[in-house]
Amino acid sequence: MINSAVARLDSYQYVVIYVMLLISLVPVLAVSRTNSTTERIAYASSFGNKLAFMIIAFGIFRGDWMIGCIGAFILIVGDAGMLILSLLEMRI
Amino acid sequence: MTITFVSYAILSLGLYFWIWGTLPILNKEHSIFYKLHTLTVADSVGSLLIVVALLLLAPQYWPLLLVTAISLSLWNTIFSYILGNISDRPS
Amino acid sequence: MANFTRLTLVLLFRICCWCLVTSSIETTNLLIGLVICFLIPFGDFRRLKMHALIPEILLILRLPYDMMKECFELMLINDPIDNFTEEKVNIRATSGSKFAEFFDLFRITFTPMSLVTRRENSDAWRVHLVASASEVEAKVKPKESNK
Repeated sequence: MINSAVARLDSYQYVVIYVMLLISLVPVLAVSRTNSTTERIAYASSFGNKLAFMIIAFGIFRGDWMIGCIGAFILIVGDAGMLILSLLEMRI
Repeated sequence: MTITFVSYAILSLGLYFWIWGTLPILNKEHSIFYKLHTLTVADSVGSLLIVVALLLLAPQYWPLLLVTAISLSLWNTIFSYILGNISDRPS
Repeated sequence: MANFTRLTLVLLFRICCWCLVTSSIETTNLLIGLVICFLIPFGDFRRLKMHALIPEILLILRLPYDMMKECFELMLINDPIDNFTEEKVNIRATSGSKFAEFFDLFRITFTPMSLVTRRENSDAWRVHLVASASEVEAKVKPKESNK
């Protein structure tokens, strides 16, 4: 049994998580600055990738298998959705 | 102790690749192909380095991290091929 | 006999995927995995070309080195311009193996320096590379001065 109050992160682990969060805000800014649909799909997929990796890193630092699973799930499903969106764009 | 240090060094190299690969997408002068290349640096290479670092940090989670690495490399490669195909269409 | 080997390879691949995703190798889990592997449609596994498998998988092994090298090459370019070239399709891919074709595309696109945009004809990929603008000018100028 893991008591959730015991599993705390070290300060440098918090630094890693916050740097990841700040980098993942850059694609959001980039989406708002462009008009081309192709570029928007690329930036949105990059945003999803980075957030999924932030969640996986948080789960591993915390020693929690379930949070890491959610991160892997977000990565696979989000990228699959973006892939289908870009295939649709290719057909048009 | 040494393994922890090495894994944090790889993690910071991966974070540096993320920053280097993500910042050029704000520049409007670059073509979309150059942006796709830098996004490959960030999202494939940087993320794979982060996966390696996390694997050194917590070896008991290897199935989760292996699935993540395989799906990440497959999806990102196919994705950048499709986006390159859309942008390079003879019109 | 060859078809039996192909079927075994496909089943082994599926069982490996199942064990990786569920991350356990207990007997009950393996039995459930086997049932699911037989339920998934097999497709045309008879067309799998086995002699193309091993060289392709061995070529994957030198990807990490190429990946890191091309990353630093890309970082050293300050003034990027587009540069389209053609690259030969692998000989195993031209002989009709879908697997080898996919892995050829994967190897070229996975490294940061090169990106396949489309298939030009039956034996060439159209590949996008990044070139440095100042180096391209330096190459062009001596030719002009010779004229």
